[in-house]
Amino acid sequence: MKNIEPSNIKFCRFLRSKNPYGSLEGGENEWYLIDDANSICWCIKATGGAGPDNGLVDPPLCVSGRACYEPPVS
Amino acid sequence: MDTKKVKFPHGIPGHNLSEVEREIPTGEPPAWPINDDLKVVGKRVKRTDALAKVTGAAKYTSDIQLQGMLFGRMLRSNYPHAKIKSIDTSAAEKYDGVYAVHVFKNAVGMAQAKDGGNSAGFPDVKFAGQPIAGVAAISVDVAEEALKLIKVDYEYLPFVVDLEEAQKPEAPVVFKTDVDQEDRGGGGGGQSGLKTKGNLRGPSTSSFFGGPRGDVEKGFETADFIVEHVYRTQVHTHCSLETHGVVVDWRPDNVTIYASTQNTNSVRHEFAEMFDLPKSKVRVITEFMGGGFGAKHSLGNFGVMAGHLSKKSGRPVSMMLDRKEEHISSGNRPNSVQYLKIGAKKDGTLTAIKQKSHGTAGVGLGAGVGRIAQVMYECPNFSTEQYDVFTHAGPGAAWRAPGNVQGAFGLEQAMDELAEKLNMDPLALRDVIDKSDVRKVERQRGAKQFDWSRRKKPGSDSGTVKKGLGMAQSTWPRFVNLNSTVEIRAYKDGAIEVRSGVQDIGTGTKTILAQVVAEELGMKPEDITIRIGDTLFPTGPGSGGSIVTGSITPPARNAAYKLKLELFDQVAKELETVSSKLSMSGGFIVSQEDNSKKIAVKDALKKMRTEQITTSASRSDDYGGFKMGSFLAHGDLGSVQFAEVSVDTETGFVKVDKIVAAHSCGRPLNITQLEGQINGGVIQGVSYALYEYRVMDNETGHQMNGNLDQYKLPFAMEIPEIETIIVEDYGGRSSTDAYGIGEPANIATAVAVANAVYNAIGVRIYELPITPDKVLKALNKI
Amino acid sequence: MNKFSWYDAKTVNDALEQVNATVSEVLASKVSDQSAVFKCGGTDLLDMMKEGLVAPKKIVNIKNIAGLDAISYHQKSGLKIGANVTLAQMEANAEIKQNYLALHQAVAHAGTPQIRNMASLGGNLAQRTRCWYFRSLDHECLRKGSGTCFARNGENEFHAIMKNGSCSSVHASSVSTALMAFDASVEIAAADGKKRTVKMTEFFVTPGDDSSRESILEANELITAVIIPPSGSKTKSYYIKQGARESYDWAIADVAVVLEVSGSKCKNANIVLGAAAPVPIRSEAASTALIGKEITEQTAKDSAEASMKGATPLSKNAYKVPLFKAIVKRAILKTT
Repeated sequence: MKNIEPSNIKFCRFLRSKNPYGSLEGGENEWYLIDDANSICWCIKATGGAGPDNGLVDPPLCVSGRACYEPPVS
Repeated sequence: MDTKKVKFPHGIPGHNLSEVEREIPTGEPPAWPINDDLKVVGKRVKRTDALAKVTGAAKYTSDIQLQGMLFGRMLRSNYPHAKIKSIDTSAAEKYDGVYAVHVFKNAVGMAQAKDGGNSAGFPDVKFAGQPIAGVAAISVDVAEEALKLIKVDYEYLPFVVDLEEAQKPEAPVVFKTDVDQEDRGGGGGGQSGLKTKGNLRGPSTSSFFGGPRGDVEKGFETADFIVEHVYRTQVHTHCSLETHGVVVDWRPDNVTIYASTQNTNSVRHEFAEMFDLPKSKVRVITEFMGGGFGAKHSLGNFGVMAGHLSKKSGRPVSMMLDRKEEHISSGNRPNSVQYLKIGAKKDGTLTAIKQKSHGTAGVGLGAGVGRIAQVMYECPNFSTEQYDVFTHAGPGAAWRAPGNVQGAFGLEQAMDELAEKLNMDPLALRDVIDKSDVRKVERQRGAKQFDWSRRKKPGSDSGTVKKGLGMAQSTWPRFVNLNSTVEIRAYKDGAIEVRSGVQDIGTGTKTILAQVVAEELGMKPEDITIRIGDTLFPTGPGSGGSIVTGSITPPARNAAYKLKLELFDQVAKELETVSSKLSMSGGFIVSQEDNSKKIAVKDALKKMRTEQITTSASRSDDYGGFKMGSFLAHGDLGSVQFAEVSVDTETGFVKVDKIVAAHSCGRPLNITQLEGQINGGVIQGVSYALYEYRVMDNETGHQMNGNLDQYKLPFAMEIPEIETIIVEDYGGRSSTDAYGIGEPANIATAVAVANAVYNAIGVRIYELPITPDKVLKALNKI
Repeated sequence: MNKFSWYDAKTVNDALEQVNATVSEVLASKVSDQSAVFKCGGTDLLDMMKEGLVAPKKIVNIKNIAGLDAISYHQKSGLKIGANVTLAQMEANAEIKQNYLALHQAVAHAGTPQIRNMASLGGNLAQRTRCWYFRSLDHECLRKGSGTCFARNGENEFHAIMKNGSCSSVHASSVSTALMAFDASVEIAAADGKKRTVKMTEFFVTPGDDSSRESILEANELITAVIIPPSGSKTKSYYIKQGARESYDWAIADVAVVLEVSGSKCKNANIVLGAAAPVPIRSEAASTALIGKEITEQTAKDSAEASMKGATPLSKNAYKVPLFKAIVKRAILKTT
């Protein structure tokens, strides 16, 4: 079975996702984005599925360039 | 790392049991034989906390009482879509008995917010029930009175809560998207470039190890038979006995959070990040948990609010949601409209599967129908397009096998229909298209126990109340979390203590940890003290994906093994041998060279050089090599369920009479607890099949049945007779080779019931729940 | 829940002097917030208080009033049940079971055992509808004083299929379905020591007549008993309730059938439908279809068909029509 590598995109520090298989992505955990149809995403700063800018919280959108974006702590 | 080669049991006893050689780390224990040859593991061991639970001695989050504790309540929007112009909390702040008031605000100002925002920075209201502000007061009643004094000036906006209406071009948009983002791909690992346009996000085209392959149109051209339908499932809310909630005790040097959570570690992490505290100053405790089915993984807005209120007031704040809040705001299983087309050859071989789905998780993501259609059967040509549709309704959340329960409803009804077209028994069709060994055994054993041979032609039962039999299958990946550590302490007085941050959400994690350690140390489970659900202890996995058993029991065994070796080291000289020639069983350490040379474990502990010895172990990589970051997955947890129903063809009411559920979870650890999990999964499946659905009023955007009176959960009379079959399925993947069963238990039930209803009345119902109106419509009686 | 004062009434007059409003008046905002209302078992009032629908200032507890908790039965005069008798007491009463089977069955299917232990007969008759719009703080519906029935074009799967032109809620008391079929009367005391006795058929108020209330009870009145005429050896009865769940639920449809038979011939019939219209209704059409006929599968079916003549189901409750037909037919056949 193939091994899967984590994403190297620098998603926002406050973006979190729970994939349907029980694993959390984001924060201290790597991003695998293994199931974008069933993963729940939230912004821990805005405490829900809408970001601090009232926009959708979703990995492709929570990247550098968005007003509320903060880079991950490296 | 130094490794050694070890032979492990492999396969299914009574079917294809053999051995497999694995290269494992030198420090890990030898392979356990199959359960028949073990003393404690795989047996019906009573829950370690059974007495505490039945006597009420067990303290849940909602039972926590601290000196000076306040009660928090939140003000929620009673309108589904609005901008907040201003909030006046002055009267609430002055109200007698109120100690703190907090209003949610966004850090991003007007200029930066999408669609304008407002200068005050209040988040836009996007669903009825969205929290706006909170109050901490001396009682819940006082807090609720104070909430009534908060004045919110709204600018009301048009809204949409219906899945189909939300897709229309003129529908009010839930999330405004920049034009450039509509076409922007995120790129990166896996897939993350989904587009959002209007209220539509997608399509997602693959799930874990699933996804597009071959050419579906060509596949359909070569098919002899085609099944093509649209299947619909409902919004299903969370109804854990204990609602979401926390008690936050903010002290200058340390914040303690008592949480009803499925993940002590992520609550700590989110709280620390939110309030800019080092993790060392945040402690999360979940000693007893009143149920969680996927929605209790994060700190939640209520947890953040309780944090602010405790910080402001300097007092502990208890914030437990009430039942209505639980229904409207704490998460739900999204609904779905699934188009499914399946092609097959005359012999049953599948030629193509095409799937397209829309669902709404309200203001959130996660409405896909899962990977089950993508991975369960051999099929060379597959494509899927799964769309999230945003609506002004409470957010979706993980709900026991997210997506898979919905997806199974389409897939397994289609397979049932296909079998009929092919003039094949549904079990025989699966024998052709399903390569899983364990499901094959489950089909055989299940069919025998259920007496599948009784099944008649669809609709052929005589009388007004017709009996029907049906079956369905499911798959679930064997995920684990490597960030799982267990510490074991042995004390001079003979006590053994197991410590981990992992929480027991009620499935019996404490008990299986005691079993695994007792088995390794040759002791009794009741001799082992289990202390878990506290982030002061080493980090454990979150309770999701049915990963806890597979993640935490191997390090528990490995830590116990290390402890044993350390004890051997200390007594070897006295027993006139070397530590490698010692073994531990029946409470004694015995020399393998001369079994008269032995010492009781408790005497050995008395002789320790220190008051206690401590060992710890973390989850190692799966034996066999597969690796994916911190969460591994290999193989599937297959299940097959059989349903027997009675359908009253005059009233339209369906009753589930019996379910036979055949399941696998690697090495079963505790049969009684597994049965408990399977029973629970089946009951929730029956409920999803026949009773539960969120009633949303499209005109006002409110849930009408946000309580436990009008939201129909099954009670004793609705629960069928349930028989379980647990198939041992050894894989040699870890030192315990055990996996969870919580989610697999829930996937196949509803569709097995639907197939049984079809068998009873000869007309298929394509929409859940199967309420009398749908049955009577199907029978042309209305 | 709001703070309130508590008054333990000792007598009917004592209670009537303390009270100043019906719960319905409070709900329809017809009275000031200084209301004082009755409470017996509390199973409905406390629900509404917890939901924030009503916030009475004073609760007048009538549960301990002496003399309202007896069941008496005489072959000649019939059955008299005190208003404070609990549903559990009624369920356990052998004379009710023997002589008024449909009533026993209706009581035994009401609520849960825990609720039946608390709920009183008087309170059961005076309780308000479970329509989810009516029970929602977020919906100012027709019954609470606005001009809008949200159910009419909204979520109406459990609502009325007959006489549903203004408000389509259904009355919550399934015990009433059986009481009406036995031609029961309600004994009501007023403050001036006067009593009035009204037939069950006169007790309920349709929304067309007054949408703010479901019964004729005034603020200065208290139900003291329910009286049921004697039931002869030729009286046969049966009750069927269908809820979403069997364990415990409100009726989606319920029916009580009380027949006077001679041999297998129906001499007289009283067929009452609950949860069909905003108040329990006698189906004259169903009774007429049966009277004078042998009770057979066919006549039972004809009667059931007749019971649904003129039904006007809403967008989501057409299924209740065949459902009623099924249980009416079955209840008739069960009497034989």
